[in-house]
Amino acid sequence: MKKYMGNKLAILLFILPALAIFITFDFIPIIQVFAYSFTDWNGLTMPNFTGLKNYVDLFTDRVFYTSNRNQFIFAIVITVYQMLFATIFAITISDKKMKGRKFLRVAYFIPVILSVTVVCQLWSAILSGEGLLNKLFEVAGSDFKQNWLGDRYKAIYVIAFANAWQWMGYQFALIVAGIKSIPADYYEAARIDGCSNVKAHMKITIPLLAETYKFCLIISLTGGIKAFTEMNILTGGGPNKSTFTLTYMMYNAAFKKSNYGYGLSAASIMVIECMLVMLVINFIFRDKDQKKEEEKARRKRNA
Amino acid sequence: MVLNDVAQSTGFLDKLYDANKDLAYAEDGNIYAFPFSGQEYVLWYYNKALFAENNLEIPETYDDLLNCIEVFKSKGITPLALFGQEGWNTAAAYDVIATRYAEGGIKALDEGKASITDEGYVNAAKKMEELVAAGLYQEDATTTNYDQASEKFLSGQAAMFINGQWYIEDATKTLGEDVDWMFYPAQDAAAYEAGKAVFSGGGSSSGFAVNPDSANAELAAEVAEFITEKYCEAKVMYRHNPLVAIDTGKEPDSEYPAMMKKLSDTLPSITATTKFTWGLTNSTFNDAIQSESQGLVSGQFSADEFIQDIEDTME
Amino acid sequence: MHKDSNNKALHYVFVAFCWIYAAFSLYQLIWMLFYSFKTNQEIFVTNPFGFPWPLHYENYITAWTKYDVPLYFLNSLLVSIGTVAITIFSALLFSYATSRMVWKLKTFTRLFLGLGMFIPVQAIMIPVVKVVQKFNLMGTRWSLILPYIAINLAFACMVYYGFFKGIPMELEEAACMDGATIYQTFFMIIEPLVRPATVTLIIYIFLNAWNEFILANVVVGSIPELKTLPLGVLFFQGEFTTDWGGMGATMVIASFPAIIVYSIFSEQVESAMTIGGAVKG
Repeated sequence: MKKYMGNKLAILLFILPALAIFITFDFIPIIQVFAYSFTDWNGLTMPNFTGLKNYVDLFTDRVFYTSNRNQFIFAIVITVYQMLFATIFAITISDKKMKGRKFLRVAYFIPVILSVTVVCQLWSAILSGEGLLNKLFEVAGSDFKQNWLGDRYKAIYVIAFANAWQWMGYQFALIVAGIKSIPADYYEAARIDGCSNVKAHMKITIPLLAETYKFCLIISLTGGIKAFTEMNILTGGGPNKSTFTLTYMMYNAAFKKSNYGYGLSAASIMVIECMLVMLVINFIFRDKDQKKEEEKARRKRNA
Repeated sequence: MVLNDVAQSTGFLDKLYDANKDLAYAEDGNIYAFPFSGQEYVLWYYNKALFAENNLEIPETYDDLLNCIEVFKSKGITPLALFGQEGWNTAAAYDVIATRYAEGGIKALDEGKASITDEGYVNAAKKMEELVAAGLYQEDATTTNYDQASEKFLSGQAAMFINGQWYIEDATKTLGEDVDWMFYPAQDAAAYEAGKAVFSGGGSSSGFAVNPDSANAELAAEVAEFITEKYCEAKVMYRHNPLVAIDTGKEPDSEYPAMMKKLSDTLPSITATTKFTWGLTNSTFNDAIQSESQGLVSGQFSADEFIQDIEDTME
Repeated sequence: MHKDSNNKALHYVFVAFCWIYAAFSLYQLIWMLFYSFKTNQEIFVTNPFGFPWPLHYENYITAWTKYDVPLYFLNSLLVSIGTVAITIFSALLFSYATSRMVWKLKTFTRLFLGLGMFIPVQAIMIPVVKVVQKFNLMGTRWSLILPYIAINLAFACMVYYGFFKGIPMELEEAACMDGATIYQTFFMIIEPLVRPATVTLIIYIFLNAWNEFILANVVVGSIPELKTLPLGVLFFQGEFTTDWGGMGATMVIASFPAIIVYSIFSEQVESAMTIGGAVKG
């Protein structure tokens, strides 16, 4: 049996396709990102090692700080928006007595399956100078027309909003699935104790969704850090790079200035930021049991 | 193959316009190809009817221009429609001002022959900042694309437009007699007159070249020169495009559009051109000038930031 | 009693809000659907928000004939199918070997591929292009398919791993005793058992590939014959921004398959997309 399940040839054949493709098109590229960030590669000729020069240039580049600011705003906007609305809708939908649940589920989820370019085209039309949004203000009699996408300070908010709008359905579905696994008895017990609906949800649902929320937090925060497509399509990074992100810096450095080494240093920082976020979130959400173990260990050390 | 001698002996050099010399000669002072296209120019188009209706003369100085802006704005007309989404248009918008203060325009900056901190460029940036604040361009200029801006101009919603000379045909087709181009306004009357010889924009150096290792290189070179001449002649006569590198001495078989004729007549007096952004050689500068000029147009970036950022980038 | 009426009021507020948001969620799509049937004049002047009548389906004809939409559709289809097929195949084999077969490095290998979950596609855009160029694949659809497979593998393997763990080892023992080779065992007994996961993954990977933009933009963005639908939709930004009707029709065509798949398989699609959350937790 061991020979059967340990058939070396079979194992090799089985793992080969996946490993080969993964290493060539995913693993080696990420290594290259870090490796080339320490060179002055221009995409064509052999690169020269330049040590930390790219990073020094990066940290003294005004656009680096704009990018980080934008990523931060993007991440916060989409996290708050998505988690808030997803929770509210998921809770409301999970009530089996709710009429039209199925329809609402579809309505919330459909934006998720659209291509991001379609979503951006639609938002671009709505946000343009003579688009729907400004028209709404006009109709309401207000003078509050804005150049949403061309504004150095405001554009990032509407761009983040477009992304939040599209992906809310995703977090919504996640939370609905999470709620499904909460036993109904909990709510029964709460009701018997005279607990109001809202309180029941605050004390039961939300805490029990911790794992789901952890995942949601990670994908929306890292989503903000990785942001690129929406600003690429909606504003071209403008005006004057005010809606840049680290990914955009990489894209711009490589394709407009042929400064691949510099661009990849921006990408490296972006990846590191994502990793940090994941580590921090995992730490905050670590298991209650884990926390108890740590307490015990700490007490032992101090004793 | 180096074609200097053949250019001389066939009389090509005699026919070459002054302004086009840099199209023929490469950096090292040799001619490697006979250029078949001429220079291209950034033209400042305007709607004659709109100006007339509002009793406005063609602006020669920036003060005139500011006056025009005020009048147009009060009538709800966009003074100048810019397709700011395209960095080259905002860069050209800067260049048509910069060349009034520093003849080399963005070309000199690109080639490192001048610095953005030179007085001329700083003044140009400040002037552009002033014009933006006065409302020269439409409010959402940085998110306007070519179709939208062109539409604004051709429908009479905007009084002026900045584009290359290739726009002459479309503009004439829609606006006919009502459209014309003007020389760029300048600081004062003297600068205006002097500035008429300097245009923003530039051509490409593509042309007919010869492989020096080929069997009959010398003969081929003469043929190349001949083809170039005939190509230019055909362009002038049958394509109604006088923008070729040499003085062909030919006339088109039918009328040029009025704007083209005016340009053609002006050609001999043009002594210098700069570059369109696609002709810039320093990609870092190219990226910076497009991005920063867009920033100036948005009105949310100051001239100081413009100068500072470009200076930092070019370090 | 007081609490109850408060409850009720709050409840109605929530419900109302749900419906308003649902309308907001759907409105854009409906608007897009509407203006894909209108002429430019109607869109901008006469009937911007209303129901399109008459139905100007010539927009669809224009999109199909003039704007290369069939080409983009075909490219998206080929790339997506290719990606799905090869990813499923490779992931199945890989996960089986790293979960049930017996060898020293199996956990290491499994976790190694799992690293893929943490590699953002945005970061590797550029080196991927270089690798594709190195293998002389630029200008072919493989330039997209292979990277797509690479970025979907980690997730697919993780899902399969979860399923494989739940299958009792006795099955292989029985097959072994019956004289089957390991290959036969795998293809005829094990593989069918994970079909549910396969179905889910097919949907998930297909949607990912169909809508993918970032890599496509960088790899085939400048090669008109290979553009996929998301890129084709963008085409309008530069050139034909004034033909909104045609643009709308193109976007509807681009979104059509995904919406059909979702309407039929809504349960599976949702579970496909959220399986990440479930398994990670």
